[in-house]
Amino acid sequence: MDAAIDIGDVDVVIVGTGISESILAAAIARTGRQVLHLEKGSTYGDSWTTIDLEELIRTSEIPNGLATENDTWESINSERIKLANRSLQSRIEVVANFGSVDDAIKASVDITPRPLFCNGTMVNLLVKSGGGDYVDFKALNASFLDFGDTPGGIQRVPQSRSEVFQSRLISAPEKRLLMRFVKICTDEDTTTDEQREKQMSSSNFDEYMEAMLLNEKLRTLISNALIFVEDPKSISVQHGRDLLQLYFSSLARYGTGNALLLTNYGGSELSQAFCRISAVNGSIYVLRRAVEEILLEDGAVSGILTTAGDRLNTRHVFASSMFDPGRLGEEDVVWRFVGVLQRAILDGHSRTLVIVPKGVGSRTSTVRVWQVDSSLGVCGDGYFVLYAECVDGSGTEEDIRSALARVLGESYSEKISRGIIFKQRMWTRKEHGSRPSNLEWIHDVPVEIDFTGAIEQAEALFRSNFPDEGWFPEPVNVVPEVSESSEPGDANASYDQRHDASPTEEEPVDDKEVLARSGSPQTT
Amino acid sequence: MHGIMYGTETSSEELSRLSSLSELGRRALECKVEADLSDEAEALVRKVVESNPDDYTLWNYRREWLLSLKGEAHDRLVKVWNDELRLTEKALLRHPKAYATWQHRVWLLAEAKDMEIDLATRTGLFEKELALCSKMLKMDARNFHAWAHWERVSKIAGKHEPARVVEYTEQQINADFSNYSAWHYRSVNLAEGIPIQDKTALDQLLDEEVDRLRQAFYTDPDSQSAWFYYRWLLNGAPYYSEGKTSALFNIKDEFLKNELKACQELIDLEPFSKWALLTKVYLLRRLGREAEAEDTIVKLTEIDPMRLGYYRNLASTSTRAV
Repeated sequence: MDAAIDIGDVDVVIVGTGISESILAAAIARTGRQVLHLEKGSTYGDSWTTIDLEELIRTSEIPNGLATENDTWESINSERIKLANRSLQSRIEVVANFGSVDDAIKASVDITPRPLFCNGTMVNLLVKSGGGDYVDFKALNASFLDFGDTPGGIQRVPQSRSEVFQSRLISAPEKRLLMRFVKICTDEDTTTDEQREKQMSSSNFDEYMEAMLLNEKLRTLISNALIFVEDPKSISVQHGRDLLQLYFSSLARYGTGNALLLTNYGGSELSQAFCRISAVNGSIYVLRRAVEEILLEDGAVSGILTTAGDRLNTRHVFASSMFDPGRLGEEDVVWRFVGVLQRAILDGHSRTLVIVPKGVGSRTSTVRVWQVDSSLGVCGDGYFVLYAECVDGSGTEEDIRSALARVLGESYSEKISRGIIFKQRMWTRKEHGSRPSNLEWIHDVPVEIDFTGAIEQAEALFRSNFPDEGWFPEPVNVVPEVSESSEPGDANASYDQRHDASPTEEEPVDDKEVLARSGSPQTT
Repeated sequence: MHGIMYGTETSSEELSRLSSLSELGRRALECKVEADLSDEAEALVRKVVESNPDDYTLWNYRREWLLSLKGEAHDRLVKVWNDELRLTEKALLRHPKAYATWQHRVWLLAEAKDMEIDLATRTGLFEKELALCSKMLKMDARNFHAWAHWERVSKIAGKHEPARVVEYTEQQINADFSNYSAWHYRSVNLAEGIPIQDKTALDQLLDEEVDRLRQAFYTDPDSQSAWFYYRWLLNGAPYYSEGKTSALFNIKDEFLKNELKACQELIDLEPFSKWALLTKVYLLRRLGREAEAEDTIVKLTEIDPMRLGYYRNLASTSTRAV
């Protein structure tokens, strides 16, 4: 278990296997640099990990390791930076518990669950990097929007042309206005001068929609369920058009009838996909090992000391900002619910998204609720995993509860077989005092659909630290495989041997095995 | 399938595959000339038609071979017939629009009785046909062969089920209302497919059909299939039965006036929708408002100059139906 890392000096040490960290590890490994990638926990993903629900509930009962001001002062001197002793439980505070321990309920749940666009930044990066070979997806089946009391509660969101055609939610004239607006926004060529004029004279996207004769119902529909923006007044016309284009290009990409995808086996598969690229390019992976101290020499990072006593020289350290001793308590919180149901919400749909917007009731934040089924391999047949998240940092526990009540009914707590409402702590602040130039903190990213923030952060760090290198250049001598033939619903070719290659929460692979696997680098 | 390009370049492997295929095809034709009905010849022909399902000469040759088996044991015939159906299925998956292959399948089903294959087996075969049609339509909802095959097979089986077809067309239209085949087979089967008890039920059916069309027009006014079906409805939904043509609905002027009003509402939203304007011309003429119809035709010539000749002809044939 505590085998020494006996590899001499490394170019780069990365601490934590969150999405940004893992993407960065893959990008750096592709440049031929020797990377050592450490993960304190026993599964990949850090705050993006996928974990057994009971284990999550147990984990959250352990003291959270939040730093105090004393620690900070003690932690930094000219020779070393002692990292904060935090782990997954530092991120989670459970505030409500539903159901009781039941051995029949087995579910792997994401701490930070996240749907992604078929044509979004993550899918495109997976295609570009080759990471798509290691992960696959299922499309959502249906999206719903809570309109409050008018025009009557939770309604199916018509997305594709055929759903608009069949929709009883919007009248025939509204269909025309909606379709025309979408066409104008997604196809520049058909825009008339008059329409361009309206675009120029509108100061925000909401004004633009109004100028294009969209009534309140249609504006609510577009902003909440198509572009996922709480307040369309807060974004520019161009931004709104870009988001709508992203939505419809995603809808068209795989013919799944939905713009959003969910990751099979849970979100930590995404971290693992990039770690795998990194490993096949020669990186060393060690789980259950953290960095105790970052060693300094003349004000720059010279090496690390791990919790197991390994001492290595390195030129760069990239670490999750969770370990930054300069960070005290929480900076941001996201309110979440995760639980298991034995009956699908909104009967007849297995993978469903429900948007409960801010305006409905007294909510301070829009809440996204979504349900995944056993087809994702995260729970048994007949069970469903339900997630809810406040999309806005100003959300509250009450927001989550009222959204659950909208979706499951007032007696929601009886319908949840097992679940928790929890507060997820985030360290998103970018500026926080001085640090050696070759130490970079990798920050948490705010709630969004898809992974744009996480990917942009990794790319920016990569480009500023390795300005002469390319960001996932096309590998030489490898013919890219196009998997156009994949079945609708499976956006990517399936990857059957995932258990052979990537350790998961069900089958933790011990450190030796991980080391052995990465011992024979194959360069592309 | 529609809008999907075949690859433009032929790889060297593909070229060598093609040249060996044409060599096999040549040898298969030689066998046919020699009227060779041996197992070796059959295997050779099988290989060729599987790769090139359009070769009707070789399918004819297979039919000669199949007919030569007449009088053999029932079990053997059933096996041969099943194998043959599987062969055509394989060929169709390779080339879903091969006329010769669809034709061969129809022949197999029609001939099964003459070959003295028993009724139970034949009934089983027909059930599989519907599954095949569904499968082919799932791959391409507008594969007219699959639609036509369903009709033909139902006829051979003596199991004409218009209600089932009407229901199926509704599903297909919901999935994609630009599916001309679905609208067409809906029109062909509607009169028989929907049991009409009284005038109220008929009125209700007409309302439902028109409402569905309205959703299509407003969702995408440029999708012409729905407009064609609409024209057929406005004509009273004529159908052919027992040697004469009858109309399902009795279309009154009041109804036409309402439809004209609805059409105008769409034109107000979409002044350049040529299908809406063309329909307006038709409705105006049905109501005897020729002068307004002519104005509308002038507008059409302006917005759609590519079809100037068509509109001029339309203007000159004012008395004829549009």
